[in-house]
Amino acid sequence: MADNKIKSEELFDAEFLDRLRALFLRLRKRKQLRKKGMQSSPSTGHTREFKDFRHYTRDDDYRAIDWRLYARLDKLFIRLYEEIQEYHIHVMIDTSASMSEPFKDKQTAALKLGVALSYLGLVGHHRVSLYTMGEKVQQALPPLKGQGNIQRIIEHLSKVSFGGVTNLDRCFHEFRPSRRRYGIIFVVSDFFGSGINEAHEAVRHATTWPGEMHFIQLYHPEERSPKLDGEIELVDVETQEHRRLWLTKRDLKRYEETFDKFTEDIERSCLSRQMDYQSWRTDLAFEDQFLELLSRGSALAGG
Amino acid sequence: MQFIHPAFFYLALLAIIPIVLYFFRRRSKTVAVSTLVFFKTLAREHQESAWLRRMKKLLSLLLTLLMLAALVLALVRVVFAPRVDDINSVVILLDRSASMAAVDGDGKTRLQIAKDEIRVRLAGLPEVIGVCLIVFDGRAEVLLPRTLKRRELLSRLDQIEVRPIAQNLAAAMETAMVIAQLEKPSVIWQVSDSAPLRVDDGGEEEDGGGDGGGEVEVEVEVGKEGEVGRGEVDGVVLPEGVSLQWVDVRAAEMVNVGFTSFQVRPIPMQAGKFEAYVKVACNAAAKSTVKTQLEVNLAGMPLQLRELELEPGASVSLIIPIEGSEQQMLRLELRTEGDQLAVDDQVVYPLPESRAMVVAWITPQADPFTEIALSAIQEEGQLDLWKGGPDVWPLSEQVDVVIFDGWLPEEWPEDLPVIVMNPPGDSGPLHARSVGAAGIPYESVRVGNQQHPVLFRVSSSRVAVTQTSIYEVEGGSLQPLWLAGNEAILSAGEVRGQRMVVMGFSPGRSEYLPLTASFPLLMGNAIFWCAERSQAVVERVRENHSGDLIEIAGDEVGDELLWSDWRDGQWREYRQAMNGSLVELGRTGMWRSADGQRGVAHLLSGNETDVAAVGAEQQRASSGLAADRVQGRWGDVGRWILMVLVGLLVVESWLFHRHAVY
Repeated sequence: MADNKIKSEELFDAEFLDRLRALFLRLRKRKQLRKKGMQSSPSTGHTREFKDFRHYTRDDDYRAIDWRLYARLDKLFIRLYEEIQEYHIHVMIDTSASMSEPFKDKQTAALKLGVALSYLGLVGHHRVSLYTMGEKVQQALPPLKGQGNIQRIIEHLSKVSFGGVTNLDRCFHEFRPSRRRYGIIFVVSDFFGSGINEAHEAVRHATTWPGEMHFIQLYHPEERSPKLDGEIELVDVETQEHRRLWLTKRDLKRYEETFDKFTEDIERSCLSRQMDYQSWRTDLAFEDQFLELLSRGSALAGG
Repeated sequence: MQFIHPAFFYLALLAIIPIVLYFFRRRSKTVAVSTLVFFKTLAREHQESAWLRRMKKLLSLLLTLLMLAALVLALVRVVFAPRVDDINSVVILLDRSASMAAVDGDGKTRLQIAKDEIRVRLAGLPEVIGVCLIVFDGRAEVLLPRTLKRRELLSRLDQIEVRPIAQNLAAAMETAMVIAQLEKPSVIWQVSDSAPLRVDDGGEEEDGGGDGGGEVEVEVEVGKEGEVGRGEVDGVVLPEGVSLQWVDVRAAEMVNVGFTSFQVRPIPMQAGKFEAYVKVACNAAAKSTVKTQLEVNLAGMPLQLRELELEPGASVSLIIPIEGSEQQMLRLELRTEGDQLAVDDQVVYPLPESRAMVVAWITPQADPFTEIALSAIQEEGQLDLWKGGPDVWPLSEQVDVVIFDGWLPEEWPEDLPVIVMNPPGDSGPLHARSVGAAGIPYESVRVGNQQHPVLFRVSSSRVAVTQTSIYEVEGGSLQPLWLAGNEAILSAGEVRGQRMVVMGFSPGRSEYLPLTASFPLLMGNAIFWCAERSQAVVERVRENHSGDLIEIAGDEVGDELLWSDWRDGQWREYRQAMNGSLVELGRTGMWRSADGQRGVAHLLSGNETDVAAVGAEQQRASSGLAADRVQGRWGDVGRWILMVLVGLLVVESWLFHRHAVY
């Protein structure tokens, strides 16, 4: 297998970090503009976000008494602060060979997406778990929390090697995310399995997962519209199977129709199960697609 | 096997291109793809095994080379020719009769097709084989004796044109065989649209004769398909060493309607009235009922228009009354949709000039009833009657017909048509005797020949006559028209070219005859029939078939004939040189000599009008001529090669490109 690892600088350079921060601020501002989001809860906590005042009772912590109000009103009030719920972000990245060959852009996009989602999770004080998905699903890193762990995630992702086949049915069946916290699960894959119906049938396993699910299908534009003509010998990068074809324009048109039906089937399967689906073209701008992903009602983005 | 254009063989070098492309073809490139699941859903033909793909490529190369070979062979025009030692000479017997002007489906006349066929066959014939060219219609003409000069032969071939003459194949075949015998072994190519005559094997007959003898192989190539028959030419024995091949130039379909008979005659005793008898026939090879229009024109004005429907092979006869004046041109034209032979579609006839007949009636005692009858005819303006006794004989003036009534001259006039009534004795060829003053009355007569012109419209059923003479005519061919008892009492005929009507009865003594309308009619018919051939009375318009050899004699006849014929909507004139008094009428239409003699020539041939097609002949062949297959055919195989080429293209297209999208 060729060296398909990506350097960490390439994966998470300063410019990308700046864009991600900007993106995070935009999301935060959007959250502030809205009165209440999915992330806030009715209970109070110890965050810096002021929520309300309440009369002091004996069981309250006296450190919460607002002495200024006592001076003015001669009554004891305590300040209540927002309590922010902690989520568990699961990021599952397809590491089969089809994600890196013949179009390396898919690998880059998948890893960047993994980093970005992890960064958002860490910045939002959530737990972040990383998984790789191939023949089977594996947890790449234990749950991490705190912004300091972003570098660890980047380094780990830059070392992930892509190869082997995809067994979507097994992966989705074996994946058991923790139920202790509300989970947000991101599956980043091209969903190319051994059969054309494998993906949308495998999605049904995801109904048992706790939390909200996001299926992100990555594909290169040439995977939908191959620039092939005439007699071609095709090699499947996962199975190494060879197939000699004589492709005509009519064949290519039929190929596109089949591909579109494949993606539509997955999308329909996801939407029918209250799961989010987004197709991700590697030739389009990362930020735009990422913003669209988060703006589709993800709890990660604060609703 | 010969090649007409061998220069095209250099095109075979084009074969290098597909061979090079095959060996240096672009190998299929290998492309890595993320998944094959989508490609696997494409058509099954893309999922062929490797050996099948290799076979297909090889097959494609072979088909391409085959196509190229077929193209080259078609361009060089392969023809199959006999071996040089097979024959020494070829006699081309080319039909140029009227039916060869029939236009077939592709717009070519049969003669043009025949010429093309001959050219192809000549191209495949070795140069050392001598060729003789004979053309025939009504007679055979050797256009070119045996020669090795192909160029001259082709030049003469180009000059041949169709003549509107009925063919005489038997006579032409005799000529061809005489020439074919000069340098045996030889072959006669009968290039025509007529089936060969039946050929006599000749073996048994000629065994003792010496000239023929042995087994005679006769090949009759039926159609371009090259079927060979063995049969018998009617009355013709093919000599040993002479074979016959029929190069058929007929088309698959043929429609023709034409005149097969035409005659115009003046109606007796009616000035300016004529009857045209026409017979219209349809060829048997026509596929279905044919509708045709018969248009009668007189002096350029339409006179009649008749619609006719003819079954294939059927004919219809018509009598068309014509009323016109002298010198007017009568033209009958047939208009048939899809008619493929024009030469038999019209006939022309100039109405003859006529003057009143001069009749001398010489009688010692004029019968009043006869006088009344002759006066009645005279009133019609067609008769000048001179009446006199025996003392006026011989006549000082020229008359057209003389009537001897109850009297005969001692010296019989041999240069005049004669009507003898009640002959009293002998004179010239006529021997008669009177049966007495009272005569023998008969209440009725028996009719010998009611169709004779003398009895035209004469009712013979209510005739009671009194026989006054018994007569006999020496020599000649007098026909008894009326018989009373056992004796003829009315006869008509010719004696040494002289027309004669003899009546052995007295009208005055007959009870009913003079009182009926039949008697004036009988007299009129007799006078008219006797004078019918008199050119002085009615202009003689000679009617002949085209191709006839006629004599046009006279002091001022001139040295050319002027022909007039209606073609393409207008009268066209042609001149034909005359070398002597014998002239062959080589075209159709009306002719006129310098001294005013006129005549018409028409095809009027049932055989030529019945233009054959291939289908009909095949039926005939199956019932008549035997059919053995030819082993080695002559001729251009270019058509077959082109068909193979098209077939190869179809096969390759089906094998390799039936699912392609361009």
